[in-house]
Amino acid sequence: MNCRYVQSRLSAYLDFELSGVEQQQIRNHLEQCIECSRELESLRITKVLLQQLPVVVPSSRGAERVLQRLQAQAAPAPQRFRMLNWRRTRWWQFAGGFALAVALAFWSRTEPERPFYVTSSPVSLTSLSSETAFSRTNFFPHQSTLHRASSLQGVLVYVHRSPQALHASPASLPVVPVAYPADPLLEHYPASYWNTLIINAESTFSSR
Amino acid sequence: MTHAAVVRSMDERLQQEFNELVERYYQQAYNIAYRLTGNAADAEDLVQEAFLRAYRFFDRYDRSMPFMNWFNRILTNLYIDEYRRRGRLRTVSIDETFTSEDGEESATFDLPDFTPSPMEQVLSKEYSEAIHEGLQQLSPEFRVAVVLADIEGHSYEEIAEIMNTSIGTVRSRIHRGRKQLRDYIRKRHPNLFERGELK
Repeated sequence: MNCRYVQSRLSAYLDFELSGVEQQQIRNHLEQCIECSRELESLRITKVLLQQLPVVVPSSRGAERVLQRLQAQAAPAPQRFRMLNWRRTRWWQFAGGFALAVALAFWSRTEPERPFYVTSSPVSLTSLSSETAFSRTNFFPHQSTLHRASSLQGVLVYVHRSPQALHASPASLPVVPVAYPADPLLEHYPASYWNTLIINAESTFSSR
Repeated sequence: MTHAAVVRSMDERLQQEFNELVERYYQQAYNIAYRLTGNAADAEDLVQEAFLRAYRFFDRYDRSMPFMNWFNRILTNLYIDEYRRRGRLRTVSIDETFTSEDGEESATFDLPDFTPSPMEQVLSKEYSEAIHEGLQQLSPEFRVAVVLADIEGHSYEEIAEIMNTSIGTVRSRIHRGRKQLRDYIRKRHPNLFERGELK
């Protein structure tokens, strides 16, 4: 057993990751080899230094932010947007709708970004009324939506915002379908990619 | 209970279980991510993405395996694949050779007592920063292997599973990673390696 062989196994020796026989053979070598013992000691110190590194404390809201994003992802979208059933509609649903309309109106005045909508699968434009409503996002698609869409040829639907659009029924909104690739890494595409899609969609809309 | 209600109830249980895992392990995951990425902003991004990815595949999680073994696989793969793809990493070829420095001769030491002595328990900020900087000089694969072994305390077998490679490769990565790190630290703080300073 020469020094080169021993030194190539010193970390594993240090970690007790060798077989019992090999561990003993290296130990025997170390008892009579100053050079290899010195090498071992420097590796031991390195390991100890790493073990003694202080634990880094994250910001207090880190876990909370993960949970918030999970909550946003977990919403099973299609079940949430059934058409209103007039017989079962309660006063608070009207109140909620009113509050939402006010919030949208406020949002439309404060948010400069163009809104667009993403569907979770290829759909015909006539079926977009309930599908589009759940996945609106200001910048780029929700990761959950993309995840569902990644195995499909997804469809991005641009909805032109106008004062009328806020009060119009979803089915009557002007939409432009834009295909994006079925790519498992879609969610990692930069915002610029989605911005380009939106700009293209907008120009298509304008030229109509 | 209808079929839909049963499914919903199961979903809620899984969601609750996962939420608890996030709360319990976030700090540990962040600590690993910080040592891998080298800074707080990238560490937070990495942990967030890893948890989101873990959630997607949570139904595939084999509960006979400790959660952090499974999660570390996701986190380190994400780190190596995605961050390199985005060009955030300074990469070093895994086959690149590293020349060790020659040190001074010293007496032999007692073996194999590898436990840290009381003097080793406290690391100064200066030393911590040097070690952290040294970690950032390693290639992603070496860094992951060293962090998992020495900071997380995983066995070689676990690391091989996490990194989806052989134990021989893990052994080599840890060994070469430690040697590179040792040489980096020794250049800046040779006293740490002098006999009597850290013993």
